[in-house]
Parts: sequence; C-alpha cells; structure tokens
Amino acid sequence: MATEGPVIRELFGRKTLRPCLVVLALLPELLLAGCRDGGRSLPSDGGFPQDLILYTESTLQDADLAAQAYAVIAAAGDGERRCQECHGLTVSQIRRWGDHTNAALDCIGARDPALPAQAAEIWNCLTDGASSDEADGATSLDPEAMGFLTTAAPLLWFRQLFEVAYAGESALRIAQRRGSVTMPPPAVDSDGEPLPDRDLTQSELDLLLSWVRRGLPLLEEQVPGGGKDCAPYVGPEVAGHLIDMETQGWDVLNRDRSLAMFGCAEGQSGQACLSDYPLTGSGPTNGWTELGVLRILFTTDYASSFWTRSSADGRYVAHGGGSASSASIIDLERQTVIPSLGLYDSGFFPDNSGFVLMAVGPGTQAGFCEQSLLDSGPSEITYEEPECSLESGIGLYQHLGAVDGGDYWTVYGPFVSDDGGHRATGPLRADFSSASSVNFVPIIYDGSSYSPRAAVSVATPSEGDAVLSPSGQLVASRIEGVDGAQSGFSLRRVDAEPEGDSYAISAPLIAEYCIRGSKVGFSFDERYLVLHRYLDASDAVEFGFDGADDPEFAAYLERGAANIYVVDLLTGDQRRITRMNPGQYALFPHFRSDGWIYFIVRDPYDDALSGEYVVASDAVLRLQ
Amino acid sequence: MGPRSYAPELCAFLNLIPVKWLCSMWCLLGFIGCAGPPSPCAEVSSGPQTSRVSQALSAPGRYALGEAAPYPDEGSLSAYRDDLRASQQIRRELGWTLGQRAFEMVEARGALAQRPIPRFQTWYGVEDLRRVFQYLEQWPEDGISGDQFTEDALIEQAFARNTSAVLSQEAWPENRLEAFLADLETDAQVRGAGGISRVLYSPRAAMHLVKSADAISECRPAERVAVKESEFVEQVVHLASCGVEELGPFRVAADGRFVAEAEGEVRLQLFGGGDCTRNRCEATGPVDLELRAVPTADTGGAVRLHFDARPPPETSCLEGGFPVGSAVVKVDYRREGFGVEFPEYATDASALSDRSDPAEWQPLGTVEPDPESIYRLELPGGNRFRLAALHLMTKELDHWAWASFWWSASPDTDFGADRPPMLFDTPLRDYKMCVATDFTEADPDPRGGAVDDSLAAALEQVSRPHGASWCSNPYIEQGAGNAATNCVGCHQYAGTDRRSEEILELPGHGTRLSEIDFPLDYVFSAAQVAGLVD
Repeated sequence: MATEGPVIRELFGRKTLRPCLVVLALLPELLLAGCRDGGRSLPSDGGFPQDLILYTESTLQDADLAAQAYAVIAAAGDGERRCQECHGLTVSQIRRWGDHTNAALDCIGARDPALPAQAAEIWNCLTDGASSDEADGATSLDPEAMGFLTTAAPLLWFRQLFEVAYAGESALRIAQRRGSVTMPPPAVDSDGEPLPDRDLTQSELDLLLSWVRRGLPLLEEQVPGGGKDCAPYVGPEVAGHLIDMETQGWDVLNRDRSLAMFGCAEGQSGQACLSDYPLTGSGPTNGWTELGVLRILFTTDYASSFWTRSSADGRYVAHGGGSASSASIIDLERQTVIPSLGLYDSGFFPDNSGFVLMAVGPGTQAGFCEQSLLDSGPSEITYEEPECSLESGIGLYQHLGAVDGGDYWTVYGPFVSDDGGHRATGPLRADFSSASSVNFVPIIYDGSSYSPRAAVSVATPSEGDAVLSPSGQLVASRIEGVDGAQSGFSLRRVDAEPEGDSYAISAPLIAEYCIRGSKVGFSFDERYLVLHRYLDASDAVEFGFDGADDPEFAAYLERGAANIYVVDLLTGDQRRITRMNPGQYALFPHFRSDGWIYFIVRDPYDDALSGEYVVASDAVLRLQ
Repeated sequence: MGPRSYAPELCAFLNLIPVKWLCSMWCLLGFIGCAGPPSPCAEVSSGPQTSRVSQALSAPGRYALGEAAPYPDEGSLSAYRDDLRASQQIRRELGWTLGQRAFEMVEARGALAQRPIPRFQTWYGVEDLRRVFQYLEQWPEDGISGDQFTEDALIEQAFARNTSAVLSQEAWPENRLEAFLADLETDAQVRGAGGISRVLYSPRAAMHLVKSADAISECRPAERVAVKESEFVEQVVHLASCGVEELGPFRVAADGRFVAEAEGEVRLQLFGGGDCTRNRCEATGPVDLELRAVPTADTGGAVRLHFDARPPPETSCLEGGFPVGSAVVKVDYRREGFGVEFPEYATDASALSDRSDPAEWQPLGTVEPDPESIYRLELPGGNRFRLAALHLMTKELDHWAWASFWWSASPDTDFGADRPPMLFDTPLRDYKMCVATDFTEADPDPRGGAVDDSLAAALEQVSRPHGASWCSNPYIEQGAGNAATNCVGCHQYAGTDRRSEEILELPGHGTRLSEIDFPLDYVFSAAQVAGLVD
C-alpha cells in the first residue's frame, strides 16, 4: 500500500482549499495505546480490511431513528454535550449539516478507501475545487463540507482514507491531520491528559447517517423550539452600569495607571494619537471612511484566520494565520510579526497583563502568557516560556474579562464560525437552539498564578456568540430569530457571587438591540459595541442605491462586502463607520483602552494585496 | 583611617569569646547601639513575576497606608561576618530578629492613621515605583524645577506624592474613596489594603531602585566574570620601636583571606572583622579591614601581611550596591477558598533525610490551616489570602542576610523550636525559619549548637561543615535541587542572563560563589524597574 502513496498524492495535487475550521489535536488514540475502530478489531498487522463500510443502514422506524439519532448529536453517553457544546442544534443547522453530509456521501458512493485508486477518487471528490490550505502545502478536508462525516473521522473507514491520502507521513502527522477535521474536537484535562472522548461509536454513526439519508424525518419534532423575536429594549440597569463604569471601567483604570497607549506621543491622547500612520482615502482605500478617520497601522503578507484582537494598549494585534506560523502576533511598535503557536481565537486581558491563543496544545488547549513576554521582543511564542501556561477547560470562541482586584473571566458557548471574507461573505447565521447556554469560566488567582475553574453554565435560549465585557459584568450575545437568521443582540448583566470552590452566576437580560451583525467587541468604558456586518440586498438603500436591483449595486451583490458599525448601548443607536467597496471586507473590530477601534480589511480582489490591512478608527472618540 | 564602628571594637577587645558573642548578639538584636551606617536589604523572585496589576497595591491602598515604614536597621554587620559564618546559633538568632523587624506592628501613616499593620506590609511594590517614576517624569510640568532639589530630595518628594496619587484619579472620587476606607474594618482588611504584591521594598531599597533606574535600564547582561583565583599580595611592614602603626584599609575580596603575622614582639589589633591571636590575625572577605600594630619591645618588629587583593564585588547595573537599611521581601500568598489547595511540608530530620536526589521539596499533602493559626488578609474586593511563606533579605552584609519563613502546622518543632519569646505573640509564632549569611557553612558543629533536639537533628541533615550553607523554603524553592540551596547562591546571578533552571543545574545547585560582578546586587526583581521608565 505504501508504494501507492506518491501516486495518490500526485493525484491529489495542490489545490486551493477554502480555509477550514481546523482544530489542532493530537488524537487521543495516539496517546492511548488502544485504538478505537468502531466496533471492529484492527488486524494484528496494523493493516486494514478491504471491505470497509462507512456505515450500516439502520432498520429502525423513522420515529425511533429520529429520536435516537438526535440524541447522538445532542449528548454523549455520559450526558456531556456533544455538538451543542459549540453549536446550536437548530432545525436549520441540522438540515444544513445534513445537506453537506448527503453531498459528501454521494461523493463517496460505494468506493472502498482500502483500495488506493478508489481512495484517490474519494479524496478528490471530497476536496473538489479545493486544495492546499495547510502550512506544508498539503490538501485537507473541509470540515464544513463534510457535514456530519466529521464525526466519523476517528473511525476505521476514515482512518484508512487518511492513511492512503497521506501515505509516507508519520503516524503522528497523519493523526494530527485527521484530528484537524474531527468533531467533536478531542478534549484533555488540566494536565493535558485525554479526557474520555466524545467521539461517536460506529453504531451511533450508523444511526446518524441513516437518519440523514432518509431525509431527517421528524426533525422538527426532535428539536426544541428555537428562535425568538427581538424586542428593542434598554433597561435602566444599563444606565446604572455605565455610571459604575465611570469609575470602575477599564478605560479609567488603565488611564489612572498611566497605561502608555501605542501611537500616543507624550502629552497626546484620544484622536491625536496614531497621527504618524497614513490615512485611508486613496487607491484601494478610497472612500472607506464614513465617520472619523481611518489609519493603516500595518499590512500583513498573509491572510489571517478567524477573529483579530488587540492588547489594551493597542501595541499588539493577534490572530490565527501567518506567513510561517499557524498564528501571529503583530508588534506595531516594532512593526514586526511574532510567529506563534495556536490556531485562532486570540484574546487580551483588559488590564494589559496577558494574552491567550486557542488550540495551542493537545485538545484545543488554550495558551495563556503574560504580556511582558511580548515586550521582551521574542522571535516566536511557543507557550513553553516561563511566562506561559497551557489551560484546558476553556471552549473555543472564548472572550475575556477581568474584575479589578479580583479574578479573570472567560466565556464561551455555542458559536457560528465566522471567517469573514473567506467562506463567510453574507449575513451570518445564528443557529442557537433553545438549549443554548453560555459558560462562564472563572480564572482564579491562587496567589502565584491563574487557573481556570469548572465552567458555570447559564441558560441563554436561542443565544450564542457570547462576548464578555472588559469588566466581566456584561455579556452580549447574538439572538436567533426565525430559521436560524439573526434577530438581534441580547445584553445580560453578570451577577457572580462566590460559592464553594467557584461562583454562583446568574445573567438577567437587561437589553435587546434588534440589529444584525457579528460577534461584538465592547468599548473599555462599556458604552459601545462594535461589530462587522456583511452586506446584503437589504442594505442597498442605506448605501445610496435605488434598491437591490440598482445596476450600480450589482458589484456589491457579486463580490460582497463587510462594514463596521458601532452601537450605543445606552440609546440603542447604531452608526456605520465605514463604507467599504465591493469585495472589501472590514472585519473583527474591537476597541483598545482609549476608544480607538482596530479592525482588519481583507480584499480578495486586490491582486496587489497579498495580506490584509490592520486599520484604526477614531469614530467613537468623535461620538463622545 | 576611615569611620569605624566602635562597638565592634569594644566587642573585639573583650577577648572572652562568649562575652564577645553576647556582645555581638546584643548588637544584632539592636539592644545596644552598634554604630555604623544603617543597612537593610531586599529580595526578589527568580521566577516570572506573576502578580498582576489587579492584585497589587492600589493608589487608594497607598493612600490608606501612607508612606512606608523604614526598615529599622542597626548598621552593618560586616564586622560579625565571621561570627555569623561560624555559628548557626548566632545566625538563627539573627534570622528571628530580622523577622521580628519585618513583622513588627507599626502605625499606618496615611488615612488609616494609627491602625496597626506589620511593617513589611507598608513597603513599596512595583505599582508604587511606577507612580513615583511618573511623578519624576512630570515634575517640570508642575512648575517645579528639579534643579531646586538634590536627587534624593526629588525622589523623596515623588514618594511623598505617591501617597496621595489617588486624589487625582478618575476612578476614585471622594465618596468612593471614603467608602473604600470605611470598609477597612477588620485587621485582615487593613492588612489587605496593601494588596498582595509579590515583592516589596523597604523605603531605602525602593529609593535605591529609583536612583538606579537609568543604570538598570541601560544594563545588558554582560559577559560573566568568574571569581578569579586568589591574587595574594605579600607585604612586610617594618615597625619602629615605641610606635603605633595604623595599617590599611585592606579590601579583602569575597572569599579571600587576610593574614597578618607579627615578627618580633608586636601586638596586633584588627578592625572590621576577623580574629586575632597574640601574634596573628585572620579574616575572610569580603571585608574592609584596618590593622593596628603596636611593637612592645625596644627592638621594633615587623608585620608580614598576606591578603587577597582581588577587586571587591561590583554591582554593574546599579548606582552602587544597595545601602544598609535596604530590605526586600518576597511573599507567597495562597488564596483561601475556591478549591485552592494549601500544601503542607515537613522539615523535620526524617523528612529532610528522605529528600530525593536532587533534593526537591515534596508536600506531605494538603491541609486546611486554622484561620487563627496562619497570617491572613482580605483584599478590598473581598478575596482572602493566607501567607504560606515569606522570604526576607536585608543588607546588613555585603552579600545580604537571608531569612526565610514558612508556615507549619507544628510550628514549635525543628526550624521553629528556637523561636525567641519576643515572637510568641506575633504572626511568626506559626512560622519556621532558616537563615543564611554566606555561601559556605563554617560552623563545625553540624547540629548548629542547637539545644532543641528536633532542631539539632534537622540541622544535621542539611549542614555541611565547610561545604555550602543551607536555607531553603519549601513553599518557595520548588525546583529540582532547590531543597539543597542557600538563597545567596542563586541570587548572586540577579541581573545576569542565567535562568533559575540553569542555576540549579550548576555544581552544588548554584550554591557556590562564582561571580565577581553582582549586576543587580542579588535583587532579581530590580530588573522590573527597566520596564517602568521610558
């Protein structure tokens, strides 16, 4: 079989694959001596039988099949959440995954991955129109396009496929590649040891794929009613909170501590800062500004992956992706990129003390480091530095907050992947079921270091993409409306009281803002949200066109665009601060401590731009 | 002849050794005035500084406490270095005395005027230094020319202004500050007003750090200068009859030896350290010595001198070494509640004998200390912490005096068995202590002359007469080999590019004197200052 490897790889070629949701993971089965095989025993010689079957059609009646198959994706046998740990199990979400699954199964047909030629056909079909998206130029599967088949990746059939596809590579490397498309992602405990896996067994996969193949009968009966209308409302608690923030907000605290803001010369503050950086307004940046000024802080030579966040002082900008690394931290002061381990979901603490990147270690472990490490001008971040630690128990799409004089916090919960301008080019879905909850993780200072405690889960039906405010006292989430479309944003107050080894937490709803957009960023005074929104036909008039049919608007519809908006939490008013050109995506905005907004701009249609812009806006400083 | 401490002379003249020791200890304990320049010291962590802004002493905390209380030094102990080296018992008495000074209750000088608080909790943390530097940078803007002040006066002004920094902060309007102060009701809350900065500096140490800021910022780890082989100088000084010859001063290098031998009828007296017999004096460096030679015969005589002329220790990244009066503590607090486990360590002879190789502290298990039997504090946010250990360094000696304290559920045994009565009603009643003043152990008695059997047996497990000295805090020294170290050995590398892991891999786990330049004078955390100035 090994002799077939080069042929197979030649067949696969190097294609350009859409960036996929990659989860770095050393597969637990590599760490454990025994290998799961979905009920089959591996041949003693380590080879594979040639009659591999991906799944066996269930003989259950529709009602039983639907109930049991839904249960498979809802929870693992021990009651631990499976898919809905990170995703809302809504009707529309499950149908979309089902559609992807059917397409993939059609691709596969009756081919046997144990036969190299057929394996090549399977691979080519599954990666249709796509290719290299890995740092080493190899082709990988797109988890999104695989639908429920991502849950089959640990099982024998897919293991054989990967063995053939990556013949010649080490077992560890192949396992890593397979782990990158496995759902649910492998989990490890605080010591980095694999936790009992949440993988599907072969019999569970049989149920699930049978249900999909039958067209997901009785789906609506299985899924708790999801979606809710948005009612514009700003409770008095919001004003009360903003009064508290006048003395306790991190903008004030950082100012009192004389946090040196990046780009502010001595005596400078606010809008006067960053004046050394060029304004937008010419060439491809023409016309971007809708409110305030925009300045280009940096131009990368790579495409970032998922969101971007910055340090409170604005000096460091971090995100997944890089020209020579899986993640990058830009030091704006030194105008250099620090390569980093990790894949995505960067975050910085609001007191400018530390940062985090996700998927640094096994099982999507989070890598936390003191920010002083960046100040020392490192050539790379490996998370083995004394200033760093690896932590488990923090889910993806996390956000950070800190209580002055207290503990740090992070939240995570169901999310909708948003890799703006790559795959996501239109309005973001909001598939958050009625079973959604947000998980608060207190990161306790024990006297010498910080360590996370078990997540405290609070039910937030039909909400997801939760973001914690810098003070840790508010959480804003996207709300699912009808059929997985977004109906608005919720704002909840976080009431946390010490209880036992952790906290008792409640999160009463204090406001709803009926607008659409991405996961938000809070200003440090917690008065504003900032978000990006993908343009669609309904935006034509706002952009000055006669309507979606206006020929001048056609380029927008063809190429898409994303713009930055700010929302006043006190009044509910929103303002668009950019006007991007067709095909230009302004994405992942967030605040630094003094009110400047940073975001990136991705323009896949600009051949002269190999990477992305890091842009700063003073819009909110003008609103104050 | 330079300035001299007369009490040591007095002690030296009392040639009865026990009386001399007693005298020394009186001096050490501060019961009589042993003159000389004041000198406390400080200490810093070798590991990463993990305390965060949010846990450090805040501006309102400093407002509550006011200016820090000085470390009450009693002058240099250099004259007693040999005594300290040669006697574990004297060393331990010194260690408890240093602890007593750090924990002595003093009155807060700020808005919490007259509320008692342990002295060390009034000392300055990195956030204080940050604010002081800010004031110094802003000074010209305030219309006050720095030229009007000496450098010391300017820095003192900045420290004074630091105490009221909160009054100009947005976060602390008057009503909020009043509420903050009103909430400081219990003793634990008053202690917590100071935050839990991991490293605290006595006023004199903090002052020296500020004065050395430029030197620290500009310093780069230089090529290490290893201790050279001895460079003995031999001189013969001929003496006329009926005269008194004052010789010196002689700067004797660290670990160097000084020997003066009389030829003929000559009486020798040595000042600054060392010992003399009838016709011979000896001392070990680093020390500055002066010698008085008095011929007692008409024929005169001579003195033959042998001493190590290597240069004295340098502190290349500071404006000179820390002055006497400097003290630094590193504190190890553990969170109360939230599932944070509190380890318990045994330091009796049996446990010390069972240490692994390389020696590493292993906890017996975890314990929940009785709240009345451990030093506790509560931060303004309500979070409570317990003091597991405190590491204290004071600058009575060129290479500092090192006393390290750790909590114990059985505090009156082994390293707590000789706790003096003056500490029975202080927080130190629940803590054990080890002490080091030198790199080598010169006490020939491995049991350290201890009266208590449990202490004697414990010392016997760690003492290596003529080998490296020992002082290791189980809560703080957590590396492989760290249970066999002596504080001073590791800290000599402060300011160099060696990491603690590398130091522990050196011969003897880094306990031996190997540097001639001590860039940050043993204070690792001094490097932080570089990040506080523009």
